[in-house]
Amino acid sequence: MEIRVLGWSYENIRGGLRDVSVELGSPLPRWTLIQMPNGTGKTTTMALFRAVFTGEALSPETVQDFRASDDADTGQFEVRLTIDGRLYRIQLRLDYRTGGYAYWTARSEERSGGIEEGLLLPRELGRLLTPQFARLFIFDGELAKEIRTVGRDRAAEAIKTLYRLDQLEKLNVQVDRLVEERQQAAASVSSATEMRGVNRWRNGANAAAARKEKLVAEQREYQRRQRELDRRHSKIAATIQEHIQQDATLRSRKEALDQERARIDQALFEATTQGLAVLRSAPKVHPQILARLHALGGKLTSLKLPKTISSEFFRELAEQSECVCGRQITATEKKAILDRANLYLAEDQIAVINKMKLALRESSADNSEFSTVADTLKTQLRELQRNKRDHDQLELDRIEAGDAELQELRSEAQQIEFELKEIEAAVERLTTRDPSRQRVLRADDKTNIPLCEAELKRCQEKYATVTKTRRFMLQAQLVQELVGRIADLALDRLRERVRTATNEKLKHLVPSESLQVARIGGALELESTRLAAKAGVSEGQSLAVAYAFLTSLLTEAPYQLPFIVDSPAVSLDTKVRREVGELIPGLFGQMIMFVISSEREGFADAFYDRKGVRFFTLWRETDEVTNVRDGLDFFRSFHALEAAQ
Amino acid sequence: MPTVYPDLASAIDETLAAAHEQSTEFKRRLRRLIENVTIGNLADDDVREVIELAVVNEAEED
Repeated sequence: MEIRVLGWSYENIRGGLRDVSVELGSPLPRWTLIQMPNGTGKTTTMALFRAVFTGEALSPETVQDFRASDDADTGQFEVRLTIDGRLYRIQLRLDYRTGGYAYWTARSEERSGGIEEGLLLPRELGRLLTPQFARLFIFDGELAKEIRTVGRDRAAEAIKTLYRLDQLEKLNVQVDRLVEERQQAAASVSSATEMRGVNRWRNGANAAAARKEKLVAEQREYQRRQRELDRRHSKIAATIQEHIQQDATLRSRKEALDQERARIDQALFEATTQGLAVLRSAPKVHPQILARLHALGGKLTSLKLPKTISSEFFRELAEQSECVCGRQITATEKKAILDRANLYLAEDQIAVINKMKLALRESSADNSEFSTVADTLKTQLRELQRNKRDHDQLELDRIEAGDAELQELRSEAQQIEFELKEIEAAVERLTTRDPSRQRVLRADDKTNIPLCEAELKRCQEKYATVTKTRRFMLQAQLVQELVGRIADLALDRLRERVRTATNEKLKHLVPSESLQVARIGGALELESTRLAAKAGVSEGQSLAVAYAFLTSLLTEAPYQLPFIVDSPAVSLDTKVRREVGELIPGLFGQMIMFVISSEREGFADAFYDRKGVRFFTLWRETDEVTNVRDGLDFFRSFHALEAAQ
Repeated sequence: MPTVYPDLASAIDETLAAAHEQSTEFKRRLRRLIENVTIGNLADDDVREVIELAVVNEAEED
């Protein structure tokens, strides 16, 4: 599905946008650069674009914030676009007196012909264009800062939405509903005796479902509080650092400790990587494991295992008319043979076991390797503890010197750490799947989500049995399992594809540091050649990561969306700016870029000689009215005019 | 006939290839259902028919 913006217009919108229209013209330019000095409504335009694409709800304050001036009672923002070649005109009508608003849509080829109230985009598109998702293609620098910190599920959720995997989750919800409907229909025709069982298990399942809902809500509330406390803790930590920086002696001690900490982190990262590699080879872990593996290999050989007869033999036999013993094979015998064929190993399984047997017999290892790595890890962890104590001492020294505010901050931080530990324990009790931990924590189906799910499943199965719908329920579960597996597999592949493509682009954008996305989990996790886990990146690097990720995410998606971006290069240094200027034009079918004059150098100038580009300049001649001028010459010389005003 | 992007297509292929007990008809219909679902078509009858084609382990039904 392809969406292209043809133009837009403003009526009585703040920033002097009283009567301004931008027409991109025909043929539609692939790249449009709109130069708007600060204060002429760039941020407002981005907010209006997001609103008309998503139909988001606006508060009266937000509506009134769009007001051009006190004498304007109403306003309007209109976007003209094509969706798969069909023309659409979407209006956001604003009533500044009441703070009300309404969306209106005009569609070509619609019988009614005229304009209708509501945001009437194709259904499939309406589902995709949520306010959260729109921020990915109607993009500003703020998202670049957030993309790794806020909304930790945004990266993976964006992939799911854009590649329609969320629809598979909806399919599984629909399957649940169909099972429920079938069971309700069956229950309604049960006899009085049967009804007792039906009611018992239905009530049991309903109660378990309600408990699960309550427990999941509790978990969400804990997670929300955890995020809130994490944010406050980070803020306090930053303020504490500011206090330390105020004392020259403490500052230099801190710098030395920070350098030492970086060295310890690096050593820990290397030792952990090495340790994990050793753990993957079981014989290296302990001499006793090696001895037992050898013994197992010897036993398999002496017992002549695995048996050479395979399940394939019986599957083939079942297709014959006569057995090897001469008896005739009828449908009954065939079914019995096929059922029992599963008791034997398949040929590929036998081959795997034979390889294992050989590997077990021949395994050898230097069993001191693991203990060496473990010793290094222990030493570095002790070093880490000491470094933390020394950092602590810095704060205590500052407090002793009379910094009362720091003492309060430390005490608040400690309180938060205590609460975070309590939350962690509560979340573990709610979510652990480990039976030994469940026992220790005395968890049951009233306090633990996995145990509650197991109870729910048991009640549902019993309910299905008494309503004679068990077969349908098992079939439904099988379909859900397959659909879930397909969604997981597709998501893994998409994540890997987007990650690889992102890293390829980052090689060009940040060549000095080899910044890489290590994993797309919920958010983007970065690593670099300098640090094991990349914690601090500059604003420019964040923006480079965001561009690399977004272009990788959006360009191969089934939806071809316009990429509308505010100040695409303002926080980048000139070198990265040139790289971005060279890289991103090739990646989108349509790009609309709002820039300020300082972004011309290194970024906008990369477009001057390209074909398929249009340049507009919007500026305010007086305090009241914004003008629009089309053309490269004016765009390039605008700085002089701006400076002259 | 809707088509799906390569990563989803290969995930469907791989998952259905491993579902040895299921019939060719079930696999064909489930594939089509997923293709339709990704473009927003979720008709109850289609979903129900696919469910009823699934082969479940008899031991589980005891």
